[in-house]
Amino acid sequence: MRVATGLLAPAAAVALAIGCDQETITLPEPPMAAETQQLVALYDMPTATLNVDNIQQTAADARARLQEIQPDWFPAVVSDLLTRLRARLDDGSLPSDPASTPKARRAQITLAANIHRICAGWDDPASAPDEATNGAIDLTAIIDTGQLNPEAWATATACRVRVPPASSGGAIVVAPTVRNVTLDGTLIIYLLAPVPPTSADAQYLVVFNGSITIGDQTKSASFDFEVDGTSVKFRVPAGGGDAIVTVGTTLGIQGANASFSCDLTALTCQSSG
Amino acid sequence: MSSRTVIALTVAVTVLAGPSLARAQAPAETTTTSTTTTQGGTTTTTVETTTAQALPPAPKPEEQIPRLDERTAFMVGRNTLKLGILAFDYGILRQLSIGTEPPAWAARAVVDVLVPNFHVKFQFLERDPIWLALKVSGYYARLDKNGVSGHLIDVPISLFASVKAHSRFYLHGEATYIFARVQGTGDLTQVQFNGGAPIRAGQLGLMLQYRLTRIFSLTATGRYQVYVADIPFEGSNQVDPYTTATMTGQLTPGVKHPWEVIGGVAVLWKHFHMVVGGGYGYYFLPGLSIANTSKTFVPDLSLAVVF
Repeated sequence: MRVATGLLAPAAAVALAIGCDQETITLPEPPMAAETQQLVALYDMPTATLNVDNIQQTAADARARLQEIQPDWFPAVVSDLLTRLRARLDDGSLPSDPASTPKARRAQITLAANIHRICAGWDDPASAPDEATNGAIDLTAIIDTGQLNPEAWATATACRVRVPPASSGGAIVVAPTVRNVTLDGTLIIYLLAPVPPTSADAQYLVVFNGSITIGDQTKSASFDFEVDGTSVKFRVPAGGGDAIVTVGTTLGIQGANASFSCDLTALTCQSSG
Repeated sequence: MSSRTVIALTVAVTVLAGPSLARAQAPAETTTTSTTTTQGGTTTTTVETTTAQALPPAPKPEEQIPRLDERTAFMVGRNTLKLGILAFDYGILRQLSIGTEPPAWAARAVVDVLVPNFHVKFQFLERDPIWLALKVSGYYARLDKNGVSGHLIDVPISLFASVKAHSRFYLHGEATYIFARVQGTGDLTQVQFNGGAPIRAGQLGLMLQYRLTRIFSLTATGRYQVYVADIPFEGSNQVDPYTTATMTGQLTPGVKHPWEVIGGVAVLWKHFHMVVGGGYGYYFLPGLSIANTSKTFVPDLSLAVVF
C-alpha cells in the first residue's frame, strides 16, 4: 500500500501542477455601467416635481430636446443594429435575454461579441457596401458565464444614414423629409428586454455622446432616450430633478408627483394623473 | 570404459555443465543403473546412465492468471489480438501494444462526426509487484457542420501503475492528462458536443481488484477529474453583406470536477474477458474520458475475446 501511495502521489501532483496554467478570457468592461443603471432607474421613477408653474417650461424644453434626439430615425439605427446582434446570437444558440439565468451544470459561454455593420449610406448601393464611404458602427455585447450583460456599447464612425432609407421606396420623393445624416460618437445601449428580433420588439435605453451632421450642419449631441417598441421616451431636467417625456401625438410628461399631457405645437398642458 | 570412468565423466559433465544448463534449459533428471556380472572369475560392472530432459518449465501459477489489461499497467501479451467492445488491441511485443477504440468510431451514429483513433501502450517497468505503463491515444474529428470547417485533435496521455499489494489484491492507479485542440474557421461555438468536451483536463483513477479465484475478481473503481481548463474559441462570420460578427470567448464546463465510483466483477478467462459493473456519478466516455454533465447511474461493461 505504501508503494502504491508513493507512485500515485507524484502522478496527482503532476496533474495538479498542470492545472496551474489555466487561461481565462478577460471581458471588456461595459463603459459607465453604474451611471447607466442609475439612468434606467430614473426612467422608471422620474424625480422631477411638476406643477402648473413649471410644466410650460418643461414642455418647451422637451420639444427642444426632441429635435435633438430625432426619434424619427435615430432609434431605427440602433434597433437595426440590435436585430443583427440577435440574428448572430440565435445562430450560435447563445443567450439573448439578459433576464434569463443560465442552467446549472451546463457548459457556460463567456464571450465578447462584436458586430461590425457597414452603414447603409446616402444612396442605395447596387454593388457591395463601401465602408470607406459609408462608415460603420461597431457594437460590443458580452456574455459572462452564460448570462447576457444588459449593457452593450457601440462606436459610430462616419456612419452615413439616409432618412428615410433609400430602400424605403416612395417616401423619398417627398423632398423636405429626405436628410443625409452622418453619425459619429459612442452609444451605450441598455437592454430592457431580450435583444430584439425585430425593431417592433425593441426595448432599450440609449445614451449617445458625439456629433450628428445633417446636410452640412454638424452639432455636438449628448442625450439619452428609451425605446419601447415604437414608443420613444426621453429625459428633460425639470422641477429639481428629471421628468420623463413620452413621444406620441402629444407629449406625455411624467414627474415624481404628477403627469401632464402637452400639445406639441401649442405647448398647452393638462394634468393626466 | 570402466565403471569408475563412466561415473566420473557423468559427474564431471554434470558439475561443469550443470549450472549453466540449469539456467538455460529445463532441469534434467539423471538415472544411473549399475549391473555387476561375474564370468569366469572376471567381474564386469556395467553402468547405464540415462538422462531424461524434462519439458519446458511450466509458468509460475502467478503468470497463468489472466490479467486485467484495461486501465491497468498490464499488457495483452505478445502476438496477442484482443477484440473488445471498448478496444481492439494487438500486442506487438510483450511490453508494447497498439490498438483502436470502437466506441469512438461508433460515435458517428450519435453526433454525426467520424472520430478515427489510435493508441499505443508501452509497459516500461515490470518488476513484480510493480508494473508501470504509458498509454498515448490520439483522436481526430473533422468538424463540418453549420458553416464550420475545422478539426479536433484529442490526445489523452495516461500513466498506469499496477501494484500487487497481496497475492490476491491489486491496486491499479491511473493519471491521465487530456489535451485537445480545436482549429478551424466558422462558428465553433455551434459545435460543442453538448458543451462537454474538455480541451485540457487531468483525471485520476484508482481500481481495487480482489481476485477471488484464478479467473474471477471483484473490482471497485473510482475516477475524478482534478482539473479542467476553459475552452477558448474565436469565430467570425458574415451575418449579411453589411454585417460581420466576431466572437471571442471561452466555454466553461458545467461540471469541473466530475467523478464516478463503480463496483463490479471481472471474469478473465484465457480467451474471453468480461468486466461488468455499475455505479454512480458522472459517466466518463470510455477512452475519450469526457464526462457527462449530470450524475446518473454509471454502467461498466467490457467484453473481449483474446486470440
